[in-house]
Amino acid sequence: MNKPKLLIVDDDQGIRSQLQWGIEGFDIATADSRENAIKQLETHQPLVVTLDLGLPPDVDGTSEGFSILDALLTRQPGLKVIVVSASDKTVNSAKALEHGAFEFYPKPVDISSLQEVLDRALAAIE
Amino acid sequence: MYIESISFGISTLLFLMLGLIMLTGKRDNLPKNMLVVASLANAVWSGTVTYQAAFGGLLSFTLLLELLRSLAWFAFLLVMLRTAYKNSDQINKNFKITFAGLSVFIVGLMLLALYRISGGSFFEFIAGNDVLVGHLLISIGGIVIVEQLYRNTPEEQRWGLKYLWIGIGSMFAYDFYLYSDAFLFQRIDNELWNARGFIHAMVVPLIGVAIKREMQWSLGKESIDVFLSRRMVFHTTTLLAAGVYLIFIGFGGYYVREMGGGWGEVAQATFMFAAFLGLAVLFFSGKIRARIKVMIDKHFFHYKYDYRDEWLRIIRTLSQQNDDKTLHVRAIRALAQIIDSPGGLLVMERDNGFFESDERWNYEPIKVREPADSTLNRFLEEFRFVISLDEYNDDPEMYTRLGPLELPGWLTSNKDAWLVVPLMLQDHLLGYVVLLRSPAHERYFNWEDSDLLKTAGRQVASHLAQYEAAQALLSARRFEEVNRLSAFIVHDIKNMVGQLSMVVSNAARHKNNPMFIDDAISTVENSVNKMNKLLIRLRGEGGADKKSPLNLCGLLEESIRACSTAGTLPVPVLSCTTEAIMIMADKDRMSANIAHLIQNAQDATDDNGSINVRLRKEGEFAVVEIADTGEGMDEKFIHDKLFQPFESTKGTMGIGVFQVREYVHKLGGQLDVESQPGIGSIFRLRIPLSSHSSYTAQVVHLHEHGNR
Repeated sequence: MNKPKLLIVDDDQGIRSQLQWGIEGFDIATADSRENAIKQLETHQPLVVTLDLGLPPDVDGTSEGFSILDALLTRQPGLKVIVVSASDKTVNSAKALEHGAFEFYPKPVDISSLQEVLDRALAAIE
Repeated sequence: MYIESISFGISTLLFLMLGLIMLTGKRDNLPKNMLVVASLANAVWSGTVTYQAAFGGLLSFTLLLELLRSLAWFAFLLVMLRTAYKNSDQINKNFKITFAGLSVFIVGLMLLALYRISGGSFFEFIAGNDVLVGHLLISIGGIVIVEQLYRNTPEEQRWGLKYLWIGIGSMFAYDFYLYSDAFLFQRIDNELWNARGFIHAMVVPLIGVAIKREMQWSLGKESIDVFLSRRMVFHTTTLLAAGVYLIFIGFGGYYVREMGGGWGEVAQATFMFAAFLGLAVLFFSGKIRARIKVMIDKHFFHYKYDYRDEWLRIIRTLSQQNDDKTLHVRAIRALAQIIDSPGGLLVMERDNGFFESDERWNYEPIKVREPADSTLNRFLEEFRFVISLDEYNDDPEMYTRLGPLELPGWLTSNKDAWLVVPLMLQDHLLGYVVLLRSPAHERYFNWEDSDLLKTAGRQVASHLAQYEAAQALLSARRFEEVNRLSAFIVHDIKNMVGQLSMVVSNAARHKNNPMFIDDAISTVENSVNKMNKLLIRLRGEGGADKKSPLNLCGLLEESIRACSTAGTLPVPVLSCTTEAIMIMADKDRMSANIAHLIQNAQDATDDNGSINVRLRKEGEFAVVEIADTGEGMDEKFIHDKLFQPFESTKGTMGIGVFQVREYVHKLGGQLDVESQPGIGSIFRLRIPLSSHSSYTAQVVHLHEHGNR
């Protein structure tokens, strides 16, 4: 049986690689920018995405992350996007949900708790 | 006698010519006619001196003519001075009385001189002390009136009139010198007298220049700014007093020499030096100056203060940026100057609920800490009174009948403390200034002083409040900066902790997998790099841009590609000039800024619209235009919102047009925006070209394409 597809969008190579080692039960693709994220979305058509907000060219802000969130959901409206960000939770979690994210997960990442969120997202689809 | 004849002969000739030339022109106004009379009177007198020097005789006649000549000059000066004041019957009357008084004085002097005629030489004849004093007074009077005239000459008329005042003023000054010398040594100095004709002759060309410059024969007719200022009266009074003082010194010196016997001349020299020293001390004495001011205020003016002058001085004192004193010290000085107080103490409200000593100026070191609800603070805030400690000590009920007031010990125990001036900001007491006793005003502090101090206190309070607000804003900005700094530190640390904790948790399952070990090492290395970058940023070194020569067309191509390959529409169309356009900038920041503007344009434009990115060279600048056919912005949005930091139509808190503009400014360029709602927007960046543009263009070209 094929595993469900997960796309990890983060500009930090270390985080991408450790998430790949840690997360279980998914076939994982990664992207480090808007361009690659949309490419991977079109290639792999994942069910779930983890998305960092601080991506180039706005690594210190959140504008690029939210733009990508909008772009992904426009292309694949049923997509479950989990926003994984170290930015201010009080400001950005509500905004992420408004933009259509499944959940806001604050960094630092704890693999087991993120795994639970991913499983929940998958369950929501099924 | 030979030199004297030539000297006065030349003077006669020149004054005669001046008078006759003026007679040939229009004689349509009184001041001009009076100058003709004065010039001719001077010529006649000089002529008689010339005749007397050459042929002898005419002694008494010469003296009388000299006095008449002085009267003619005075008449001219007074007529000119009258034009400086607005027409009013009272002023006309005052001038008539002055002229009549002067005439009586000079005629009296003439009669006195005639009475003294008893033969002998000319010099002995006029060297009688009473006549000499008369001449001295005339010359001092002349200098004083010329000084008044100069001060009252409006700026635009000075070009024409200054030579006239310099000429006539110098004539009187020389006469003063001649007669004071004569008065001191009881004889007229031959050389000084002989030179007098030449000196007077030198004045004629100056008067001629003034006439040639088409001087106006009245002062201030077109100027409404002519008024009798206190400062002017102060200077005039001081000058007059100094003149009278010198005459008395002369008398004293003469007396000492006469009575001193063999020591006479030594005693005279010592006496004169002591007297001049005394004059210098008086001039520099603050107390004497203050007393003169009080005397003038009391007797010459209806109000004690020249409010315009006072206000200008307060503002000047408060805003003296080059002064090394703080604003708080200047605030004390601004209030103290009003009543000539020698010092003061500023007490300000603090956040801790107390009023505490803030700054002092010539005030004993003291630490004040008054509760905000003390009776003194409440009294000042409620009644806004200037408290006079003398009045309070004499009659406390004067204050306490208004409300409870108990002055603190540190205030009552200081015998020099005089006034407490509240600093009111609207209805709130910001603080107060305790002023030290003034040597001049102690005997009469009245409602006028109180009103001025109270109003000046409000002005000072608003300056202080503005300063405090600016300081608070600065602190808030620093605090905000620290907040922002700590926000990104927390952000980066969270990422690093996440990476490392994932390495640890993953290791439990994958520690025997060599690929994981490789990845884990690479992740740790990544974290170390991040930590190093963070440290650099914390040390403030990260703020410096890594500037390098950038081929702007290539950079625009990359940015457009980055913004379009994900399928985002519309795809911008780039047009560059064939020539490479180079700038010096940080590549990452420049790309981020350009990408931001392109994304903004894409967000604002329908998929069917268009975006044009154009690059060209204009003089020393590269010009990048990003033009879209999107929804556009109105002027209000551009003015109020577009360039606000952390503002975004997309509701995000990231890079904004504000940051783009800041970076472009940092490069020495500028960012302009043109927009029309419904039509579209153009963002135009002007960035200085790299100084070695053509050279760096070649280098970059080689670097990019050379080794293919």
